[in-house]
Amino acid sequence: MKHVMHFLHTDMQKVVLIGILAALIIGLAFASPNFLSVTNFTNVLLKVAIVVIIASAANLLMITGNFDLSVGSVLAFSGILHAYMSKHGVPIELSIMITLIVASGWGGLNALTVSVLGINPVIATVGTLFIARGFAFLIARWDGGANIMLGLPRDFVDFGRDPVFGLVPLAIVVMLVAVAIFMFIEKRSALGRKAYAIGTNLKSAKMSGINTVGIVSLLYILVGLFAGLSGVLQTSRVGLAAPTVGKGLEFDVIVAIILGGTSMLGGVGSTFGMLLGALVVGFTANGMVLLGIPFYYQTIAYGAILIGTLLLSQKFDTKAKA
Amino acid sequence: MTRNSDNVIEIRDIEKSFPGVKALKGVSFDVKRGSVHCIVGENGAGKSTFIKILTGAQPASKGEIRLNGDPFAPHHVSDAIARGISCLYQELNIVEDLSVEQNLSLGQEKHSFLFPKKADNLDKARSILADFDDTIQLSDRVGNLSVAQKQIVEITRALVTDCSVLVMDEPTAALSLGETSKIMRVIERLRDNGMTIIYISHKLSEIFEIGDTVSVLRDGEMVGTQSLEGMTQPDLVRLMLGKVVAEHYIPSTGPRTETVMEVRDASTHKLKNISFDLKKGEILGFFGLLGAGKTEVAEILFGHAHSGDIRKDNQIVSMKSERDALRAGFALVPEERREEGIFGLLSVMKNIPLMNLKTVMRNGLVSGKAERDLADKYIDALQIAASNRNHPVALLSGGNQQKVVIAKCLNRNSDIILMDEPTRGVDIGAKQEIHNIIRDLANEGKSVIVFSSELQEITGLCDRIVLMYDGAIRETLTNGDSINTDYILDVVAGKEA
Amino acid sequence: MRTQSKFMGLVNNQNFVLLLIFVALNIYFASSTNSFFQLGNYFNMMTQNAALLLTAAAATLLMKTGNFDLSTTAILAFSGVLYAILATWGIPLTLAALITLCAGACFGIINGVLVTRYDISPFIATLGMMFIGGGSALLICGGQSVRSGLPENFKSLMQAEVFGLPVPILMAILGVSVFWVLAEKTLIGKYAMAIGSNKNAAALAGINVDRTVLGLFVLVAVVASLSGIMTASRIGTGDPRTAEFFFMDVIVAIMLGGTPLTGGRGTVIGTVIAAMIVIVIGNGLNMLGILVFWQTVIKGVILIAAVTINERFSFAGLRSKGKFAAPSNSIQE
Repeated sequence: MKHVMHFLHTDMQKVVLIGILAALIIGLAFASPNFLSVTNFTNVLLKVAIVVIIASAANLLMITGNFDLSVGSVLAFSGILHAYMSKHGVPIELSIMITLIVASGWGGLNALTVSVLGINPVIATVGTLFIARGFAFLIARWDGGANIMLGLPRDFVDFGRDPVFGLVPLAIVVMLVAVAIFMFIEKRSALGRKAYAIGTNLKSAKMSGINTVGIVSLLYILVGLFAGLSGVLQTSRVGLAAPTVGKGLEFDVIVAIILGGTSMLGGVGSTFGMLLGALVVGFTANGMVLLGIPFYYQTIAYGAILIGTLLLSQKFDTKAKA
Repeated sequence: MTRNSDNVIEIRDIEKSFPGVKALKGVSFDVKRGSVHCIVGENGAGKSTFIKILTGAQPASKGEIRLNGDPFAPHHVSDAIARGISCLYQELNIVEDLSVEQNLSLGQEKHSFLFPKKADNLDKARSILADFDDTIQLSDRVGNLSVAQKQIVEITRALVTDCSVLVMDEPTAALSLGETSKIMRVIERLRDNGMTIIYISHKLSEIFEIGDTVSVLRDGEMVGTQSLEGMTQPDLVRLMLGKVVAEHYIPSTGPRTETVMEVRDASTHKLKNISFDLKKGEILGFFGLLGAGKTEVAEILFGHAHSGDIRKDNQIVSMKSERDALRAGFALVPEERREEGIFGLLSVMKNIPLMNLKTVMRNGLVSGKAERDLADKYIDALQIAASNRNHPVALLSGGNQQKVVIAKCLNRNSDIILMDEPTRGVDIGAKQEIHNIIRDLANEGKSVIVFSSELQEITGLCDRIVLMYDGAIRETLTNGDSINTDYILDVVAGKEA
Repeated sequence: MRTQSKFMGLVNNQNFVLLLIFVALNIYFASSTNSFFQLGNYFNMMTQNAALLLTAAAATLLMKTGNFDLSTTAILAFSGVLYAILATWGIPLTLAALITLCAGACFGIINGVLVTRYDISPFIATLGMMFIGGGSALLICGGQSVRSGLPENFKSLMQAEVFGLPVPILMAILGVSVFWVLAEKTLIGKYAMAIGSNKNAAALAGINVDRTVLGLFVLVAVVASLSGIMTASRIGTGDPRTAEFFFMDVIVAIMLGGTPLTGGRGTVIGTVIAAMIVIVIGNGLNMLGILVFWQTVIKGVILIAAVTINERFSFAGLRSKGKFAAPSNSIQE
């Protein structure tokens, strides 16, 4: 009976999420006239994309039992860096590449502190959070002290705004690609298998010859990379870069991941679940805005959802983890 | 049950069941007041479970205990302490960051509005402590003390509470000879003053030194309770290991002449100049009692630090981690399968390839079909009983979990396979099957080292047998019809040649 | 083996080193700027950061048990807003403060129950409460800081001076002393340390772990609440967005002061000195005209450095982190 419950739970969570999503969409369609429009859906998906692109990688990281709280800062930093370089004459493609490399570097810092040195991921990644944010402000200053950057070259903005095939905005395409990549990794790659193993039982993983330090390090670097990617996309689409963006983004990412069924202890989770979780959060926020519910109810709902989900998953999780 | 006032504790038919396993199957014996009553048994025999029941850490599933004639069924450790039973557990329950004095009084402080008052048994504590080790000060931070000293603090803590029965679970495991004999003297003194001591240890020499009576646990059953007067060490060992019905030994088919691995003068803090060699196609067995050093030998072959050399195929190999060892051609089936062997949450199918993912990869990707085929192959070959290959391994029985770990190991196709207690906690049927698997491996030309504390397993399986005692190799025997199990028992019991 | 002097030496060592760093920083800033080394500046610094000192001191006790609280910012903000709103309704300030503290206690109770009874990691539990608290703060004031309609005497307490010291500083000194006594001299401090150092041993010794931890969560919440009241009084506004990274400053101070995330060790004094270091750095850098983002970077570096020192090299290898080192609480077979 127990194993039935276990499997039902893992897939049950997805079923429940799909149900909630469906209920939300149907409900909002009736409740608000502006809901069912291409513009609205696009906006929601664009917001969700920022989170999902990062969460795809962060999900696999959490499956190993680790997490990264610096992603918001890395996103902000990357946006600023890319904007700065573009504004000062660096070709777009080169600028993006450099930004991604530096963003991976932040991930590398996390890899060093958490995986190699063994420091608690909470503290280590918060340290990076501070440092990266600080450098974001620094670069903004180089541009003249103001926080917001104007006067970016034409193709910088085009990059983000021109939809692919004239239909779907780039960010959304990237989101789908990221999800696809990680769904693939989690199901069909050695990396994925090893990540689940590490999260399930670190000692067994080591005894089985898995390079636990290497894999966790790689995942931290990937998270940094994708945070950078998200930063570049966001800043390109919006047309300006501010070092203050992304505050609290790391929590959005974690909520999406946990809502999607990934346990903080590791070993359990899926990319698709995370996507569903992010969509639920995204549409809930959207609904609140459309219905004129003040923003602070959202924050409260956030906290309640987070705690509630955890309370529920406690019931099933601990038994399986034993 | 007639009331016998000689007995401070009477235990009747204690049973303890956990889901899927019966840890204690009807244990009965009496403990005489003012005696040192020893309990012995190999790992898995049920000692820890029994102690937990006696000291209130866990309830029994069935059965009855009487303390001084009155029923005794504690719900909490504090209940037991209140009735006069104090316990020293195997894991140190000491708070590193507090001082000695703070630890001694932890949980029992006299206080006024949370401000602790000077304890009135401080002098008693100080003198007990000084008896053991006069360099320990009450104000020392416990974390700064050596392991032995920490143990002494814990013993003092138990002694300071007025108990009539003191239970000690492997108290001298980390003590030096000098410290051990100090503890022995204290125990004798306590006994002479009327305290009853229940002493659990695998160190037979201690049992014989201070014990009055001994009870032997084997596989969850109480095999016998006897006075230690007149008993010899080999007698006791025989009682512990049971009648050895030789499983029929069949020699491995290969010539077993080529040396595939050699260990020279390996030492660790526990091992003393271990040297031996391993031949291709043979099953080599390491036998000895708990604490003889078998697991340590397995560890140095799988990445633990050591002095001395290990050679494989005549080349010195330096193995600083498990990955190095795997690369050098060693694979280990670990002793603690739950902590180090299985991936409980994952399915059988997902567990098996993890030591060698290459076997299920096609064109750089993990192939679902390859995984399924591999799982089926091993489920069949090893007779793994799971409802299907997607069954999470945590839910399988011990024997089947072990088979999954073995399958994972076999999939690595290493030259040398190390198996630490390969059939512990495994039922008879699975035991047989695992033994056949080991024989097949040797016959295919692999070399297997089996570390076991089960004599039957060793004599039934191994081509050569290495006997260990106290961290050293006493003797190496070649298996055959002339093998004398009595002799073996003597050797591993430490008897001088 | 005279371990006693070694013990005393090491303990004093970390706090001593921190004190040295503090003094060195003061000298540096005093010599690099004109206005740093003045009584008025010090009073200013301490007044503005009294909340940090108080909360960090209280939270040290909690962190010694191996738990922490991310919701302190939210509780502070919520309390400030609630207090201000109650004041605008004409409720006498003392009563308003009491009601607010009760509300703060409720936060603490929820945090404590989630962690002890429902076994949720303190990270998630207090994170969730951080959202709920922050959102609630915005909710009750409708997203606007509460500025107008405050009574005349709203700011007076915090702006008063007693014995020549501004009231906030006095409160900080008092509070820190109370927590110091709690930690060093009472059973609560001892039990907190025991729980963080070896929860099993503490439970086996008969300590009610859940009740102690719950109590400490409530304590921290109430102190954070008090901090909120103090801050609101001082600036004369109930601002729902105040002190965004407060909880991080609290945790940095505690960790830098020698309390690791897993608890056990740690002193209130260490936390206080560390908090002063953070405060002085902030103030000094401001005076030197160095901008906020550098301060943020420095904070991050300090955090990582503090943790590395604490977690990797704690007490000269007593917690051996070597691969094959036995955990010092068990006996090797």
